Parts: sequence; structure tokens; C-alpha cells
Amino acid sequence: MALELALRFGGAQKLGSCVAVSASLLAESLDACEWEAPPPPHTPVLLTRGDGDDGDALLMRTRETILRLAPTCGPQLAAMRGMPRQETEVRQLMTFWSHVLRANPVGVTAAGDTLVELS
Amino acid sequence: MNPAKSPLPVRDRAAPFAAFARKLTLPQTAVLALEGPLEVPYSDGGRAWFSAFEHNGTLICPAPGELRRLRSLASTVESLYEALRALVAQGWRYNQLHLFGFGDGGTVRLLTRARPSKRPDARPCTATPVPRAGAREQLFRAQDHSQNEPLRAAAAALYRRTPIERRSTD
Repeated sequence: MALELALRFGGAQKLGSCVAVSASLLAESLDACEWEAPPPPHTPVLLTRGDGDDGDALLMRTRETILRLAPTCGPQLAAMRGMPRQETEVRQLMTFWSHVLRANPVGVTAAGDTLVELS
Repeated sequence: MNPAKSPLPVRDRAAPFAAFARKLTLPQTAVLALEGPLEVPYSDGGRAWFSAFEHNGTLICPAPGELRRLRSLASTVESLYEALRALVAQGWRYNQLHLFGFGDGGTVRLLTRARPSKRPDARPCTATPVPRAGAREQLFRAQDHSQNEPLRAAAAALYRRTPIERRSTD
């Protein structure tokens, strides 16, 4: 769902990011020929895969389709068994968001206002 | 999601994911945890984002060219698309909206970076659940209450626009 949604937003409507855990596009969706590619730049995407996941083939097809339709999504792959629980899994999530936010800081508005962080 | 590992791949509710988001304690972030518009049969209230079950409760295994799941999914995507646009119409920026989904469209969350305040005394959002009996969304209260309104409106718009289809399980 998140992936389907993210692929609809591009260009000036590019979203911050999309994380799809243990997810892939539907096989019917991948087989459809009427995909309309969103304009670049595209929403950054992180896909996760488990060890020996039987859904890997669909996941790989999903990644290939995203790369073809929206190459600037740069769909990254992270190893994760289901929802992130281990520290290493959460760290991968945080690293992705960190890169996304660093490349696209949202704390500064067009008017020049800055975000104030208070500890 | 691998059906072989889970007989009900789409049955998640919003609350556990809201709890997960709360644990992450993301700074300057408001979280909207949503659950699907469809009830999963025999799941004690589990929700799904698109039609995934036959009337007898088994998973739909689409034949070539069959579009039941896709049509259902398209309807929900359209609703969420409008919900995101509603957020933007109320002052959020597209690049402040982050999606987090689990499973084959099982659950989607909108992690939205809190709108930067123009006030110098702006404080990070707190992750306090908003009690709202009967509501199907878990909404976190931002410390600045005005930041809640776009999320409330978007959530309300989502559930107004998404028809709740109850599949017969008899």
C-alpha cells in the first residue's frame, strides 16, 4: 500500500520517504502494462527482506519495477525479519531516515525560518 | 508477506504500530497510524487495505487478468492520496510526509514531520495518544495543538471517503 501510494507522488509532490517492511507490489500490479511513471525526482524508498523469505522473487520484481519506473527512488534493501525489533534493524531504519532528512532538510522553510530543537 | 507463514497476512490494527512509533521517539514528528478499511474475516477485528479473501475466508489467488485485489487496492490508494493532499492543503509539505507500511499493503502509517514553528520557543512533539472512543485511528498529540488539526482532518477525510465493505463470512 505504502509503495503504491509513494509511486504516485513525484516531482514537486515528492514525499519525504517510504519504508515498506516485508512488502511488495501486488503481482497483478507488476503485470499491469498501464503504469504511469511519476515525474522525477521520486520518493526515496527502503524495502526490507527477511532471510530466505519466500517472497523474495516478488520483492526483487518490485525493486526492478521501481527502478525502471522511478529510478531516483533508489530503492534500498535492508535485511529485516518482519517489523524492526533488534537494534541493528532499527539502526538501518534510522540510517535511512537520517540520509533522507540530511539530503532534504525540512527544518528550513522557504521564508528562511529554522527549526528550533530544544533538548 | 508470505501466506505460507501467516494464514492471515493482512490483519493488523493501528494500535501496535502507534506503540512502535512511540518507542522510536522521533523528534519533531507527529505520527498518524491508520488501519485498513476492510475487516478481515475470522481475525477478531483485524483490518485489511484491500480485498484479499474469498467469501469462504481463503486467500484470493488471482487468476491471470483477475483484478479484484487491484481494484480494491486502487480505491484505498485513492483515498489515501486524497488524505495526503488534504494534509498539504492545510500547510504540510509533501517532503514532510513519510510513509511506513508493513506487509502487502497490510498497514500504512504516515509519519509526518511536524510543521516547523515560527515561534522561537517551539518544542518537539510529544507522543501522547489522544483518547477518542470509537475512533479507528491512533493520533498522537503534538505539543502545539494547532498541529493536530490537519491530521484530524486528514484522518476524518480518509474514513469518509473509504467505504467500509464488510465481507460476508456465512
